[in-house]
Amino acid sequence: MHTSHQALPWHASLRSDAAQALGRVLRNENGVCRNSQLLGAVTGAVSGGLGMLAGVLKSSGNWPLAILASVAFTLAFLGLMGLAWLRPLWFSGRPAVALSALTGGLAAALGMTLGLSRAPVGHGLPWREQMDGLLTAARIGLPMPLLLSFALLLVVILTASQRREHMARELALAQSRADQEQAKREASEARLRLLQAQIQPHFIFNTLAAVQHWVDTGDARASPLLRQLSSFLRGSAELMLRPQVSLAEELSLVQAYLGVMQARWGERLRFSLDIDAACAAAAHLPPGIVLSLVENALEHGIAPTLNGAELHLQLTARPGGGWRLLVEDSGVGLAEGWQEGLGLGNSRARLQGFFGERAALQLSRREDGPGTRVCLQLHTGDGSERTAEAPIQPT
Amino acid sequence: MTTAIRTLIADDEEGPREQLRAALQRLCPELDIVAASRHGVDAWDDFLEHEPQVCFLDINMPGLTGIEVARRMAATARPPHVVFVTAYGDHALAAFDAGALDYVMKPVEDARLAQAIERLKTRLHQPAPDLQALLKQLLPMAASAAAVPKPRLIQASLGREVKMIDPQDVVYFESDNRYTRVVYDGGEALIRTPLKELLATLDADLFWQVHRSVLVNSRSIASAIRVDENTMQLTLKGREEKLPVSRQFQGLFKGQ
Repeated sequence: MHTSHQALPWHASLRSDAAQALGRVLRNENGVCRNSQLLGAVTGAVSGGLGMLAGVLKSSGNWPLAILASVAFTLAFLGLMGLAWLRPLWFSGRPAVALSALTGGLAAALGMTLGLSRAPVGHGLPWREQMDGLLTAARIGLPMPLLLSFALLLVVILTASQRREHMARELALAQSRADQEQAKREASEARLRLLQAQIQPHFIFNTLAAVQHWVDTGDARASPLLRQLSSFLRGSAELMLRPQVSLAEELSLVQAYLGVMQARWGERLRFSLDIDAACAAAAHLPPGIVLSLVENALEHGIAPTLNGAELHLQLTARPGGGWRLLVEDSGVGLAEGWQEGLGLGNSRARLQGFFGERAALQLSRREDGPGTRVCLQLHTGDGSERTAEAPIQPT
Repeated sequence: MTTAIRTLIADDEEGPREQLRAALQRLCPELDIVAASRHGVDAWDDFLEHEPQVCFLDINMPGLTGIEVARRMAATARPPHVVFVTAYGDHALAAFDAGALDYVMKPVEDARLAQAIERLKTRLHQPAPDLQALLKQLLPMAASAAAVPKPRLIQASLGREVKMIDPQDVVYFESDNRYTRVVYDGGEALIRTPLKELLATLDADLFWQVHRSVLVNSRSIASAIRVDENTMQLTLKGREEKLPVSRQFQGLFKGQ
């Protein structure tokens, strides 16, 4: 990567990346592909070095110079390839252009020097002949250095660009993995929140206080309340662990909850259910959403009333496919300037993730009297096909 | 023999309320439970009627939360000693450990309740501490099931007409147990809402309760006249009638 995480100076981070890369090669971690690139680079470097050795030897007969040149070339080539690999961004775009210009310039200078040393141009000659002389020198001296340097540059830049593509691919892969992880985490968090909401102390301890009292006084209401409470807690724990449940299962959980609340509140909670059983069995959705709508109706709609209110639940199949669930209460209704809370936002997000645009959740004031009306609709299908194709399945 | 200690309990759910009553009667028979209120509004009204010395208040109640009720109680001439009853320990409750207030968790346990009663008894011989500041702090922490006071129009039916009255225009409300008289700029009307329910929905800074059955728009008050040791009266701007201020609320009118 271009910059290391710990903000080391560039040479330190370069060294550390090089060490890591070398280590991976030595441990043969990256498979044949990467190692063949390394093999290519080494071969190129070595043969280039040998060529350089032969060439310099032939032209100057000087062994030390030849060896020096050859070693210098080999190391420089390997170094350049290494840099291209570790820091591809230094060899792309504008830096690449600058590098090419620089290389070209240097090679030309070297070439001209060599050419002029072979075919010197006298200074006293008229300018046209000087030009000719220069051209000759260029013809002699330029081709090889230019060819060589641009060949090298090409190899280095190609390596860098290939490495950059590779890094981009890895980044995309990591990103998509991160997105999946994120989605999984969000789903788990949502489930945890729901579970926590279910087990909220206020709910538990108020219910237990009622049970305690009725047990102490031998009141017959104790037993059914305890049964409803167990059934609710067990049901919510089971359902929350699954990615989706049938509406029938969700509604039976809702009924256990309502049973507990009615035992506690007595006359202050009156409720009625009108459920199309076939529709409920066939429809599927993420668990806990309908329950949280009912909890909201009780907590924000009915609890604040002094004398209690009614709750009505209705599930009907839509004629063109899909279903409609209504949760209506005759409580205090939505306040002026009321805003959606986190719970509703979370429910919407989960519905969106499961149904896409096909599901709609709407809250409004009731038309015939005080209270709130919540309408959850699925437009087509029953959601069951979603099980086969849901892209993200939290486990 | 200790005289009976007038006690009020309030909880919106029957189970916890009766459980507390039974436990209190078992642990401390001197406690004379004068009222078992079903919600904050009733708790406040019952307090005004019976003037208990000790109040056990559930925090989450409709109408007025336990903390709101405690605040109003603390502002009267003889504030009671308050013990909050709550479903779970909150870090906010650390504030209670200042000793000024006490709390018990529900379902109530005998040992803890007995401890609270002991503390109460020792404190009964001292005046109740000034809880206003502490209660103000706790107010936002009561995740309140109480409805937010809505400044809505008052609807009073008058034969075939339904008059829409803006609370701002009301001079005072006066009630008996069944009806409340709404006296406003422009006339008078009767509504069925008892005063105790009204006051939970009105802005407490604008409307002051000066008597169990009188709620007055503070902007309409001209002056408060002390007639004798126990009696005080209010005069109103631009009107002739005088409103009584009961002993509990006379502390509202002090010179600066």
